[in-house]
Amino acid sequence: MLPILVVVPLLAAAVLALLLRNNPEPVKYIALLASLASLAIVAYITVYNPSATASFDWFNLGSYQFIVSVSTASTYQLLLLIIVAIITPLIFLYSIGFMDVPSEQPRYYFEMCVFAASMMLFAMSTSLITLLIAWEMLGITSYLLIGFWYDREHAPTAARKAITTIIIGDVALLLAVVILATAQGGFQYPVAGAGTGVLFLAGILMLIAAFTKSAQFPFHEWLSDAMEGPTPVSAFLHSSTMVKAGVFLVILMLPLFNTTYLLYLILVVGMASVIIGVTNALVSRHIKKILAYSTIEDLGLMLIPLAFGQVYAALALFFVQAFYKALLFMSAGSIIKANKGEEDIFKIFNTGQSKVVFITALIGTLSIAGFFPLSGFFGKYAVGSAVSSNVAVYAILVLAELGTSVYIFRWLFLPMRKNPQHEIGAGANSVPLTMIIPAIVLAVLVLFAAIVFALPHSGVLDALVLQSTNTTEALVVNAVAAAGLIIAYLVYVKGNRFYLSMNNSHIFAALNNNAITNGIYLAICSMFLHVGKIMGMLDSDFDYTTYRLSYNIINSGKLAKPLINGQTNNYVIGFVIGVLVLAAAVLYVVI
Amino acid sequence: MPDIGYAIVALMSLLVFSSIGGVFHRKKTIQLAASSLILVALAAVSACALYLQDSYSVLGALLINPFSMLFVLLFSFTLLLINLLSYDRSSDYPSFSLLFSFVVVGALVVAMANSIVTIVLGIELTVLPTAFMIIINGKNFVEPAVKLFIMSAVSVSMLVFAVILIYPYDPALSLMGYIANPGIAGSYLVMLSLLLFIAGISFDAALFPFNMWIPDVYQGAPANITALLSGVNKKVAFVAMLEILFVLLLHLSPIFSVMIQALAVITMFFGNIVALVQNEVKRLFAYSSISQAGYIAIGIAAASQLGVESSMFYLFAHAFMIIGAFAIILWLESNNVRSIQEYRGLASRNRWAALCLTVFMLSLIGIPPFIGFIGKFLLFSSAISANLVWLAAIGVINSIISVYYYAKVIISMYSGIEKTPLKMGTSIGIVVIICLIAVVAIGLYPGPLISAVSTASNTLIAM
Repeated sequence: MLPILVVVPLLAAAVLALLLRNNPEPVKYIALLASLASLAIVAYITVYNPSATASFDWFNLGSYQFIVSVSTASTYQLLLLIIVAIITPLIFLYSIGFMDVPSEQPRYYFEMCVFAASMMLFAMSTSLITLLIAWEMLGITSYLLIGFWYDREHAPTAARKAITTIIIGDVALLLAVVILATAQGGFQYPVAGAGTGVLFLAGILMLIAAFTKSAQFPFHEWLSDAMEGPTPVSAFLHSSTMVKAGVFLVILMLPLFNTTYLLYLILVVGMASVIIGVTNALVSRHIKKILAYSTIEDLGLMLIPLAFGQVYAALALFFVQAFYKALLFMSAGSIIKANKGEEDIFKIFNTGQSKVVFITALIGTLSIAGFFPLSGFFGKYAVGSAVSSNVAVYAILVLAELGTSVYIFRWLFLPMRKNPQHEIGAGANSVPLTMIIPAIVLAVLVLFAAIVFALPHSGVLDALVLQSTNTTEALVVNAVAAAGLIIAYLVYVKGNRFYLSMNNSHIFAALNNNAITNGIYLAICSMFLHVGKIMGMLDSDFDYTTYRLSYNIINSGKLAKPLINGQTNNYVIGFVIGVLVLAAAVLYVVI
Repeated sequence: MPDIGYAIVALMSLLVFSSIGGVFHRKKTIQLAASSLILVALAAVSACALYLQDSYSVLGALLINPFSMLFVLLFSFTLLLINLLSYDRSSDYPSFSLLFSFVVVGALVVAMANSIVTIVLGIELTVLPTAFMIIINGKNFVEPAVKLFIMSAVSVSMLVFAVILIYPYDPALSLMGYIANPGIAGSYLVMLSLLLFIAGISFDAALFPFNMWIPDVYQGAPANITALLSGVNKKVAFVAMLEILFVLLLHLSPIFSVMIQALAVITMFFGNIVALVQNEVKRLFAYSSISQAGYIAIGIAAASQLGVESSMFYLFAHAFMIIGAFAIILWLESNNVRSIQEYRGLASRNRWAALCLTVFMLSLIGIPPFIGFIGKFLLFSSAISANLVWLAAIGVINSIISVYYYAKVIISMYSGIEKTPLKMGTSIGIVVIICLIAVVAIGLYPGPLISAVSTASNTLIAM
């Protein structure tokens, strides 16, 4: 029963949040306490009982047993659980400062608690049924959270866009689960998948589900729009929950993808997402959207080693990304808060004044850029060395890392510009302590999380291993990061005028407005539009047909009505006719 | 522990005697309390026996085994709900209560029957008092009562004729005779007897074309009797069908399975299509109830263990859904709300009632997470596993058709705003809430009920 206890405090807090609708003051503290309780239970499980399981017979149908079961026996799953459990209290603490409108709090904490609980359930699930339940809960709560400020202009649209994409994945996952259950005769995870026949189809559907959740090409559009949600939601969604579920699904179902075509598909999608993420992040002006595109890139980077079967490399990045991405989003949130909601990095100035915010943001950027010995370096290095056998992929990765370094320092340097005319207002002092502390904790984690790679491999640490040590590749990562830093410094700090003049150049125009990617979207969209037109033509025929059909069905009801005319003798006649027909049928068979 | 079996018999007699007493002292409340208490005791005893999985015979005529106990539980529980519903509705509750006690005995006898004659007697004992229960409500109710009486006379004559035909082959008239003597399978007379059984039971089970009386009687009778007819009498017929036919379907000619398939298909289409044009909600539910009988027949036609399990499950599911729905219809009827137009704005008058009725209808359509979904899921998968994919497909098509008329009611309830609020009586409220809990809870966690019906079906097959 131990693993199921993990989600109990959060669900209880969710219920309490609903009950305290009219008295929202204690809700935030209840949520924080609940998340700490979950963390304590996870810590207990990790230390004392790492292979705890709990299973619950839902119902049995013939040979199919619908079992809801959770377990922390797998080190991967325990690792994800630990990541979620650590991030959750930090996010909740940060939310205390960020979500300062009391009337919004009960709804916010209800949705957040369910969101966190469903991610934990996802992390622990060991049957396809549990997986499906957790997956759906994640989808619905993320929809609610993205559209949290439903009275704002863009939030409902963004939420709709997200749920549309996510439902594509839900349907794909449901179909994949049905196929798998039929093929295996049960709802356990596939252990050895022959990539043929229906299992190949199940693999493709599984991947579609993973790509929608992880915002991978071509389903990545919803993630940047999802920035309409509150910043703590973004920090949570991008670091440990939701988008990570997609990549983790690929890790869980890896035996199913053990065919050349599917691995190739993972590789291509991962690469495409990396390129899309980097190019868009380079030109976006929105302080959170840059990070969103960066997440798309990170997740692509996690998929690429999986295509080479290098789970450990993916897990290394998976682990470190959670911390630096949460930290970056928290910094972004603090900067937005200090600038009274301004989100355009060209209109934000003087962020360097708040030393704590600046230093934590700096640690985050250094980590994502890949400087040794911050934890981000180890993730980048693991991914790089996993694919270094393939020169083409490696070259693209190096370029992408250069791009990463450039855009992340652009993200840091532009809001730092000094502008005496620009009043930062309450600025630095208006960021509450509850938003500073989690950032500091995360900064410490980002600085020192890499220690786990050096610890002896036992228990959950089995999942965190650096497969090789290659000094050249390590140097490449650092050199690329440094080059990016220098370019960003020259362009965005020193070369302000140069940069502004470049604004009108052709190179920038190519990158700006995501011309290339937008072209691709447009092509895809117009393709769908053309399909839609053809469907539309068919549809009008179809409409007419269904209309006629339903009209006829309803009319046939009218025809049958006189049969029941209130005359009992007719009913007896009907009865007798029925008996005669049955008798005739028997006679026909017997003779 | 044979005592439990005797306890059921004792409670049944106690119920009848207390009702006879009730006719003389005419204290409504005491009578309600007494009969409800006895029904609760019956439910508790049968649940206990079901838990113990006892299997023996009482008085040489009644079988105590998981199958019979499961249905004693269902019948005593649903009859308890109908008893509660009828308290406010009946003008002459003590007389109602006396007739009602006969129905209880009949239903329980069918559930526990070990011979064909007992089954026929039990069916008769449930149907005839129902006709009188309609008529005691006044002159306006003569017509439906007489219709029910005449049709039941026709059906029981069929049943008795069937019993006579089988007598030379199986003087004990036990259900085992058929299996013990497989040589009789090919005999014309036995075949004839079986099809008369099908016809006679189909009258009560509402299978087309033996069901034409249903819309008139359902609509004409007070809604609590309609709930009784649809929630209990129909279930009794299906239990009889399971007892008599299922054993035979496995051992005799496949023609009977084909026959039931045909009846299922025609019944589903008839019920659903005619319901499309109904304007009065009670009549609409009468037709919907007919189509639901078609769904239950799918499981019997599948002639497999899964088929029986799913039919039994759906009997439970349908009982709760339809009694809940008729409880609300009954309450609205007493407030002169009858047609779909008059249901307009119900959500603004009493939003909980509208919500509950919506849940019952969604469950009848077969939408998760309600009990109806699990029931239909089981039924259709039993058809598929018996290689009757076309039958499952027709079932799905019919579910889609049924969305139209259920949605009509739902849309009507949630559109428009009516000022005058409607208040629901306590006893009806209790029934609705119990049904709602059953519909939602079993829908979310069907495990225990599924394992219970699977144990029960094992007994039936072992018979």
